[in-house]
Amino acid sequence: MSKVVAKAASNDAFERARRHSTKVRVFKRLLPIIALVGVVFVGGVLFISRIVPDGSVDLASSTISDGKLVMASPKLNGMTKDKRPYRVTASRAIQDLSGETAMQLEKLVAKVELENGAEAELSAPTGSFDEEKSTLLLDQQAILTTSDGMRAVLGSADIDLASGNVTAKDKVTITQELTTIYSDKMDVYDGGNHIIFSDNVTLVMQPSVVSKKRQDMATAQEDISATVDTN
Amino acid sequence: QDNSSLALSSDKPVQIDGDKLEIFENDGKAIFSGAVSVVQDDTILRTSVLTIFYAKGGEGSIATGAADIDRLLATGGVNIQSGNQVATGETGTYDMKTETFVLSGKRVTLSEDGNVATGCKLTVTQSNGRAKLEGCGSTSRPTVLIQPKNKN
Repeated sequence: MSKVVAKAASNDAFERARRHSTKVRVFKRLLPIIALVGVVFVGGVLFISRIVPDGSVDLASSTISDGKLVMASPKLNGMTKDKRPYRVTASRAIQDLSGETAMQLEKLVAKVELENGAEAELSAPTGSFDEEKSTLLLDQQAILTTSDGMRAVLGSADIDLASGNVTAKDKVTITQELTTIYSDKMDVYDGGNHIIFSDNVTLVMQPSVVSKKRQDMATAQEDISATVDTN
Repeated sequence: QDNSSLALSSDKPVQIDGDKLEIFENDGKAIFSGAVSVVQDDTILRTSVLTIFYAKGGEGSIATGAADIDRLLATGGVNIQSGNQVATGETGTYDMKTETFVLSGKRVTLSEDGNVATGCKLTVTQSNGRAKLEGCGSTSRPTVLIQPKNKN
C-alpha cells in the first residue's frame, strides 16, 4: 500500500520539537485577586463609613452637601485576615445620607499583597459599593495589575463580594507574559475554578512559551542538525 | 522550502478563536466552543468544539499558565488546511507528548491540488511530517493514493 507522504517539514524544527509541551496561560490567580481586592475594598470602605457617623474621623476632610456626606481622599491601610497588608484610597467617597446604602467612590485604588509576595492593584475611575448587597460595581474601565506581570483590563465589573463571583463586561483583555485573552465578557464562579469567557473569545499563545522550554532541551541535547530556513 | 504540515509546530504563535471559552480548573480542562478556529502560521484548523486537556498532577494550574497541555480534542467536524493540503474528518486529537495528530470518522479525506484520498483514519506525526491514511475496515485501503509533488 503506497504511503501518502505529506510534505516533510525541515528536520531541525521537528527535531527540536520532539519533546515539548505548549503551556496555555489562563488567569486563575486573577479571579481570587479581584475578589480579594474587592473584599479588602469593602473592608476599607465599611471601615470609613462606620467611623464617620461617630465622628472619630477628622471631619474637616468631609463635608455634607445637599444630603450627601462627601469624604475627601479617604485612605486606609490595614491587614487582611491572613495578615497581608492592603491599602485603599479614593479621591472622594460620597455617601448619600438618605439611607441608601450604596457609596459612590471616585478614583479608587486598592492595593494588596498576594500570597506569592507579588502585589496586586485594582484601580477604577468610579465605583459603587453597596454594603447591604455586598457588591462592588465598577461601571467604568477597571485595571488590575500584578507586580509579576499580569494585567487585566475590564470594561466594567460587578464583584459579588460575598461569593467572590465576578462578572466583567464591555471587553475584557487579560495579558500575561506569553498569553493574551480577549473577550467581550467574562464570568467567574466558584473562586476562580470555573471561568467563562464569552462573545468573541480569542486566546493568543506566544511560541516562546514553548521554544524557551525547547531551547533548554536543545542546548541540553547539543543539537547539531542544520539551522532551519523557515521563510 | 514549504514548512507547512498538518500538525501544530511549536515555534510559532497559536491563535484560537471561538464564541466561548470555559475553563474548569478542577477538572484540568478548558473548552472552546462555537465556530472554533486554531491558526498557526499557514495551518488553520476549524472545528465546533475544542477541548484542551491539561496534564494531571502538574504543579501549576490552567489559569496560572503553568499547567502543561496534555492533548487537544476537536469534535463536531474537523477541517485542517495547511499550504495546499486539506484534511477533513469527524474528530481530531492531538497528543502533545507523541506530537501525533489523528483525524478519524466515517469519512476522512486528505486532499492536495485536487487529488483526494478517502479513508477512516489519518495519522500525522509532526516529528517527520508524515501522514498515513488508513482505509475503513480491516481489509479496505484508502480509495485514492496520492504522492504529493516535491515543492522546492
